[in-house]
Amino acid sequence: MSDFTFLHAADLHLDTPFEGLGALRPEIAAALRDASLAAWDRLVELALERRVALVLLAGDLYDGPERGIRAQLRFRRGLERLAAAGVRVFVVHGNHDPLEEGWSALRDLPPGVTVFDPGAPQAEEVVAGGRRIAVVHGVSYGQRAERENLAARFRRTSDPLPQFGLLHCNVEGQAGHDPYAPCTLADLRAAGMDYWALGHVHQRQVLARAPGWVVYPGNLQGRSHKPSEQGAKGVVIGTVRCGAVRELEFVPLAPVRFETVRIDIASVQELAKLEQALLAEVRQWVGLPGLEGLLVRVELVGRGPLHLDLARGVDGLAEALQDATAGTAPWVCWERIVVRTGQPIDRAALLARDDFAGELLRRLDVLRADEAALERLLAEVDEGLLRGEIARVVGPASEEERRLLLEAAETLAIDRFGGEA
Amino acid sequence: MILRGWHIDGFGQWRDHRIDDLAPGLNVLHGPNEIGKTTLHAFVRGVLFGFPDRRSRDPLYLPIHGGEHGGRLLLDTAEGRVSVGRWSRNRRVVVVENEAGERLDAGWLDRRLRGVDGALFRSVFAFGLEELSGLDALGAEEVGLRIFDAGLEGAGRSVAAVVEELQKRREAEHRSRGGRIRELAREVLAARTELNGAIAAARGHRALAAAEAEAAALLEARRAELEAARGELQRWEILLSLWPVELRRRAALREAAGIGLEEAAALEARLVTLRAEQELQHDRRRRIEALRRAAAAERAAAREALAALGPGWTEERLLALDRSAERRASFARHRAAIDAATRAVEAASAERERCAAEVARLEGERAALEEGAVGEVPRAEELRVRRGALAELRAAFAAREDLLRQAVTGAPAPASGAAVGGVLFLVAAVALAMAGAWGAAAVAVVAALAALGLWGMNRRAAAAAHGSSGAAALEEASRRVERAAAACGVQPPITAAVIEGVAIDLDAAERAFHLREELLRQIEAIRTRCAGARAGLRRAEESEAAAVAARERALAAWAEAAADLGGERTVEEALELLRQVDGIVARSSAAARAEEELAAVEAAAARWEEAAATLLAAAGIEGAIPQGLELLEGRLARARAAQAAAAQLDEQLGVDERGAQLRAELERGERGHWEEAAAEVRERIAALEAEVDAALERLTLRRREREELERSADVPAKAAALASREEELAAAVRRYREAALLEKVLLQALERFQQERQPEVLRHASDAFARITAGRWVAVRQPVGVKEVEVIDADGRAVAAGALSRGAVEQLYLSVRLGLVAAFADRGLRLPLLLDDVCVNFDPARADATAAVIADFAREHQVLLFTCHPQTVERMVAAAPECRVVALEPARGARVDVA
Repeated sequence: MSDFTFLHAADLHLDTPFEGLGALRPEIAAALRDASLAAWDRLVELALERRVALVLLAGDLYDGPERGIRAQLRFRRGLERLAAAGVRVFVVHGNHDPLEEGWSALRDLPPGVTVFDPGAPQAEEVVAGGRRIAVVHGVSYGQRAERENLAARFRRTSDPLPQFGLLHCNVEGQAGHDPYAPCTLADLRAAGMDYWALGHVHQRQVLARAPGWVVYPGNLQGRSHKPSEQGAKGVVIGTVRCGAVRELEFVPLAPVRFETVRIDIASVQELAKLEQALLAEVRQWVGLPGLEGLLVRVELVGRGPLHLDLARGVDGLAEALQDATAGTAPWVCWERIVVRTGQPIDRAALLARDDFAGELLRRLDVLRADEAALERLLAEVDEGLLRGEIARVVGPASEEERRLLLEAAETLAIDRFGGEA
Repeated sequence: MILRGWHIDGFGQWRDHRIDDLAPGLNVLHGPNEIGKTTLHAFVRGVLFGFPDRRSRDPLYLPIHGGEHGGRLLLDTAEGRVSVGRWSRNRRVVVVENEAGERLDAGWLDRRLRGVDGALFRSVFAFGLEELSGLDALGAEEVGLRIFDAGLEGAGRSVAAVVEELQKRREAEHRSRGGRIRELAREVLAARTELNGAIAAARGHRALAAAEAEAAALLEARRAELEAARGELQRWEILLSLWPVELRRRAALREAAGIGLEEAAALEARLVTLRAEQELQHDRRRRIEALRRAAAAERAAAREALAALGPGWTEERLLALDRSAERRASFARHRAAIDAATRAVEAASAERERCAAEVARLEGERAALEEGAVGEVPRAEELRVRRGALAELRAAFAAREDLLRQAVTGAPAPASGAAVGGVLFLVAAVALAMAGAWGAAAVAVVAALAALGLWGMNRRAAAAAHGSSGAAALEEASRRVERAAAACGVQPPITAAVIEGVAIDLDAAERAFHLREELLRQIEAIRTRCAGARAGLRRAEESEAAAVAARERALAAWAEAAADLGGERTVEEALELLRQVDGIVARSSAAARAEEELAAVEAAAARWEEAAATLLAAAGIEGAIPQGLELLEGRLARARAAQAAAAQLDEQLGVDERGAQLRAELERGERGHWEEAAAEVRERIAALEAEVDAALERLTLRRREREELERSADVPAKAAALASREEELAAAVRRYREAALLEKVLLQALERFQQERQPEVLRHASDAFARITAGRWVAVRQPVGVKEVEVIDADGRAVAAGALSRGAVEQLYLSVRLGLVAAFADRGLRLPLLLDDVCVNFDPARADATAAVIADFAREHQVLLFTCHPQTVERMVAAAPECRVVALEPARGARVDVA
């Protein structure tokens, strides 16, 4: 059997909008705009450079069925380059780009590119250099909300060649991702594939190793500060020797990286030290090969003497951080400084105090415990707000937002009334 | 805390004022007006909360009687006695020390005051009639907060401030008409609309791309047709444009008179060569004549010069003559050798003459010296003998003279006139000699010697008479003298003068001897030099003879060297002859060269004329050469023109198959047909161009539509813009909700707090007010939502505080303050209550009742009551006999206890 390498990527979300980012400097916005496409170009370069025999793309190539003429054109150019070099490409579509929804700006695809249809999984042999080297199975989503266990439909053929399963699915109900094409590890093992090239979960994971690898490569380019979107993003390069997948290598390709720096201010005595601590955290990413930009979100937590300074505003700190990292490579954008700090006080003792601060905290605890009371209060808060055009774009506070609102209210209450009893 | 007293360094009229034993209960401090009671209030307030600065409207109470502005309070606290000091030089710093004098930290006082600020202290804990009567101003809006401050430990004001701040924050985000949220909501809606439009538009991309491809294909087809038509037109236009060239080619061929293109090329080459030499040929003809003339002239001149050399000279002899430069150089060497030999002869002759003159001169000198040496001179031996005889004579004479003196000394003789005279003559001779009168001195010497001689003879006579032995010696001496004198050749009598004369003669003889000797030495020297000169003369004569011989040899050599020139010639003459021969030979050579060149030029001219004649014959042209060549040149030019026209046709038509076809078409010469065909194709091209333009326009339009769609339907960009706006909106909503939620929670908590804590304050106030008014009013309350307090009479009727009389209002607010102080105390904050004549507007009954209330209050709280009314003192003492009464005195404040 032939030895070869393959490239596995998923969730490209080409030309995708970034989530949770407010107004950014134009150059940062432009860099973000190009990031997913640049990552795709890098993927193509890597495939050519490593001379992989096949490229497996496990769904969600585009962020939405109607998105991205530019993305489709760029995607096609990459496929053409791969096809010209004799690289076979296998594609399945996922919940973001189901085949039977939306539209395609591309009339046809280059030779050597196989897009699996929805319905039953199809299998196709891979021939490289005139020799059969592998069999690839795959199935696309026809509709966005694919609720069927597609993995259960896969079956290995009798061919002794290495066999790959290409699927966009949620294994074992992974939290934070829609439960599309739900399946279990047992379902996947039952199919008898040598390598499951999965997509959908944006966090890179190896759920099972040889024989029968089950791999999420993660998405190609992070899109927000969600935990699954942070850190290095890229593709997996696998090596097949003697008919078996022997080793995997993760290759980061994303030009822009999302990171969150969390600092507990309990032991930080002054703003300058805090700034130094934040800059020290960021230094770990400076100079990483291929990394062009870094969006850093700062989360300041804990109770400490700096709290009152921070509560007055962090614009100055943000400017100082931006100044300190101006001109660095990669560029650093201090996206946001989230302050969830408090004064260095004993909450329990404060709660027990028979004073106004204690009364405030007790009142807030009542609201925490009494969801209905909180909803009533927030309804009063929203009464003057959620009207007319605002009501068309703003909904009631979510559970998480309600929690954060109470947290912010408590912090402010303690700041203003939580002096020594 | 209990105020035990103070130490004022300087404050208003107080200086170095000390009190340290105030009671923990009631203290009555009294004194007349202007004693400084209000000043003490201000001092206590200032130490606790800071002195006012110059920007404050409150008086500064600068020290009138000196002392540093400030002082200390003495406080009893849970930590024991503490002094709290403050001075205006550093009004922000409070100095807190314990009994051991240890400094406590700066925050100690703030912690004990627990949020009570100066304003609150002045309003609730330390007030006078002014504050009391002014409480209505406080009361309307603030009393409520003051009341709740008691429970909130001063937080009432903070709540109001925070609520106000939250309202501002909330309204910044959202108001009924405006706010950031509304703006962002509109932006979000607009961005959504834009995104949806982009999504809808993007769906048409494939159709637009297909239309663009169709337009591109149509354009391509029309362009191809147009290109073909243009090619056809070009063909007809080429034929039309080349037709004049073809006509020219044909005419030129005719005018070339049968000279073909290949023949023309050969003739052209030969003609060009001949033409190139045609001017040279004219020069050759001119040159031939000039050369002939020059050769004849040179020949004639040579012959004439040869004849001038004289007979015997032929051209052959001239040519055989050695005229080389080497020979001319040898002539110069001969001339140099002859000149050198001649100069040597002249030099040798001159030397010889000089030597002969020198010999003659030396001979003359010698003869003159020898002539001077004639005459006798004593010999040297003789002079030595004479010098010995003289010495003997002098010795003998001296010995005899000694004998004579001895003889005289042995028989003293009377003074002799001769001796005296001799001495005198000697003295005179010496004097004359010193004066320079040598002649007179000599005479005096002679006289002196004569006198002394005479005196000597006398002395000898005397000596003879003196003894016979002496006489014998003298005799012997005299003989010795005589012998010596004889040897000297002198005769007695022998005197000293004689002896000197002998000596002088001897000296003269010796000088003569020496002179002769010197002369002889000179003669000998001259003889020696003379011999040398003669030898030199001989050598000069020999040199002269040799030089003459050498000159003869040089002249003989020259004669031999110039023998072929004939006759005797000097070197210069020989050289001149050679120059003349050179001229003759040069002219002969020039004539020969001219003749040689003449022959060559004549041959070349003949060759050119022969070639021209041959060329013209080949071209079929007869007649004179120049005219023939002109004619030939014209024919060749036409042949070239025909050739150029043919080349132009080749270039335009090409040499391929199409070119051959065009050339054949051109040769047919159907010009009319060509013009008609071109006109038809032009019309067709115009139509096709219009079609291409239309197709291009359609394609541009389709492409622009597609590109516009790709730009406008940039879904991700619009989605990103929407996401950004939504994120900003969410943040604004979050800020709004945070502020609004906390505001509501705050107000709810405040209301609840008010409801729970208000009765505590008002219960105290109601009790006090009821006692003071003897039950006229039974309760004080503050309705929720109403900021002004009201009082309830015995019948349950409520009356707003503002409706009460001044005295009743003052009693009400005194009661409220007592309630507030009690409420603060209940919360753990105990501060002394300072009252400044608060009862002056009370009637005696209510004043007594107030005194009783205060006295009771003071059993739980420290009270300092300041008054200037003795009856107030008496009233308070009556109400509380245990109270501390302090009399305040003017100036530095001495104190007198009266109870």
